[in-house]
Amino acid sequence: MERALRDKRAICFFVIPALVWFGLIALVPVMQSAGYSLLDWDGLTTPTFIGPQNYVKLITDELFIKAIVNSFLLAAASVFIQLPISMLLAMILVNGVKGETLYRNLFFIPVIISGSVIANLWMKIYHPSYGLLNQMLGSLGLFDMQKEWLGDTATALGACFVPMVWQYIGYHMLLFYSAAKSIGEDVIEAARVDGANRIQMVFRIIIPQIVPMIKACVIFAITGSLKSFDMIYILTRGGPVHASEVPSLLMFNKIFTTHEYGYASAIAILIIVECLVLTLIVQKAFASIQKD
Amino acid sequence: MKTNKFLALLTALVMILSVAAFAQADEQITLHFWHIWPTDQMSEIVDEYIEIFEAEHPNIKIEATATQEVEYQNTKLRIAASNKSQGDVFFCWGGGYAKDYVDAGAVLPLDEYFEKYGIHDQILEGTLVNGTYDGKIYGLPLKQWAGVLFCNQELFDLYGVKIPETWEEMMTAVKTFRENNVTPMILGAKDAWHIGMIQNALAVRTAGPDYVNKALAGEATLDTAEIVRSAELLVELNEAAAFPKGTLGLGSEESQEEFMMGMVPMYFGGSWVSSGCDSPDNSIQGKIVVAPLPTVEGGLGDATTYSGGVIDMMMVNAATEHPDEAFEFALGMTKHMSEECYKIGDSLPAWKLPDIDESEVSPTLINVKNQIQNSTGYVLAWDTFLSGSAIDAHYQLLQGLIAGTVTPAQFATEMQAAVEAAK
Repeated sequence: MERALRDKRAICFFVIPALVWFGLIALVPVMQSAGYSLLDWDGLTTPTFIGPQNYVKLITDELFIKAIVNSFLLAAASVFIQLPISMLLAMILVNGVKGETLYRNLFFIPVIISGSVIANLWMKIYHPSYGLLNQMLGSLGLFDMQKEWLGDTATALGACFVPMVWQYIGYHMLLFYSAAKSIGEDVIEAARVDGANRIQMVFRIIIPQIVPMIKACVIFAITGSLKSFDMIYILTRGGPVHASEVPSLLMFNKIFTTHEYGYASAIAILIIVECLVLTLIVQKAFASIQKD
Repeated sequence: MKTNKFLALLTALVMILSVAAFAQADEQITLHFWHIWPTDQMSEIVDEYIEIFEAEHPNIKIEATATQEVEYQNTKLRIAASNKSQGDVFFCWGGGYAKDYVDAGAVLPLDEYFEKYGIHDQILEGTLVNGTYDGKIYGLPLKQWAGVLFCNQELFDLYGVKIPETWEEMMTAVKTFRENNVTPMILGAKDAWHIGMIQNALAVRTAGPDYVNKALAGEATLDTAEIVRSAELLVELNEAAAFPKGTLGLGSEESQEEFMMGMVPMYFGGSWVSSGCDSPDNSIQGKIVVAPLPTVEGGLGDATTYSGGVIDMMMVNAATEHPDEAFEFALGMTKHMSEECYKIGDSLPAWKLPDIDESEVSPTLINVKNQIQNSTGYVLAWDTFLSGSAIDAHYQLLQGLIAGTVTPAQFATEMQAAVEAAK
């Protein structure tokens, strides 16, 4: 094994197929988009080169700023609401409850259901007249709290966040759970001999051991939020009046409604850059945590 | 020995070549047909004609591809048309939608074929307008639509309301229904085009069809008192709670369910709503009467003017290898669909149908057809007439009117700005 790893030529040789594949399906389109983002182009007729004008227009576009802010709100909700809940569930399961496997599978079910199905389910929940939510509030006598959840600019964004955050709780839970399960039995045993109770075990032993997994989950949650599309597209199409606009939805509209391919490509590039930068920041932040 | 091998090879080669040559004599061709009807009755109609056509032309195979309408309109066809890789025959919308494709040279001009097949005598008047660009015909007209007010007579009788003919009567009807806790009118404002149906028709009432057509074509301004008025009337309806609660969060299909279930008395919609009105699955079967949108005092469009026209078309790919066969198929399919869609109550025909048995046709649609016999003018839905950024602006402004973030005056000014900017 050691010898094989020392052979740089062999490594190159075996990495090449994957690298070529990755290049073709990931890097090339990104480069192409970067190129398109410098054009004024409707996708059909001859494009004109306009340099970085699309980017200038983008950062002064109120709508884009609003979409970015919305996506950051979603990222914050994912990191500070979704992940703690996932962690709580994972820690409960790790500590051994009756029916551990059953619960683990139940929590994971939303993850395997397609986003569009979930969005349609929640559309029924939010329906202003017959929706489960308003019906429930009504039967409790809370008529003041009944709202036009998806139709009101004040509640549309929040209403979209709930199913989005909810869907992936099981996903992160499973990652935390499996990371915690892989901690050596000897470590757990030693802590137990030293008299650690369950709470101490979680905070002193398990969580510090799974920091790399937490880092991965934070990155998934943030980048996933910045790229979110399907759920919002079905629930509100970014409306009403752009109240729930997010960057990828805006990009979609720019391509397919207003036919501004260049401008939409600029949005795509900014989403990629945004994800990369935030990933780097998270990496740095965790590096300093891990050092301590 | 060597010569034997050589001879054997040669014989084999000759045999292969002759088989190939034989095959070429009776050439098998495949035509790709792209459409938007993956399910239900419409897809049956399409499949039915494909079978007929293939039986008549044993050497032609039709490969049909069906895509959901919205995806087809917004993404699939657009991407394909950029390199002319859409089907040999493809469904398309005329007006502003196909203009980009025609400009990009992706659509075959059909004038020659129209002469050859004598099509001008077979179609109804005015059906080519939206498929003609720079004097050349690109689209075979598939069907016509007209916007009318569908009213549930049972509910009108129950609450003692008269089917409105004037705007005052309309507002009285809205108020009476609301007082009785009945949602007066259908609207799924999440789909902005659904709001446009109403506002566009109101603009026909206030500004008259000729003016609106000119303004949309950029020959007159949309920034007029009449267009402002059309937006004001829409807002007036909204403020009188004419539309379902939470309409901005409801899609068109979701919203119209309540009309089909007989819970909402009024639905201003296209003639395609007829099929739902006559469907045995819906409890409103036999209870629906159609009326023109109420007239507006001082408006320039009277009760004989409508929103609607021909926008659905069959087109032929400019890059097709078999233009003659493709046109023949497109023509046959168009005629077949025009007739069958009329029968099932989906749309009004664009073709003269001399031998049709009207007893097979949806009664509500016949009512619509009778209603528009006297029509003196049509205006297409704005979102099919306009293109690109003007459509987006139109949608945003319409939703703004319902949400209360855009005033009617702003609506008119910004619509005009958007039409100019999109040019």
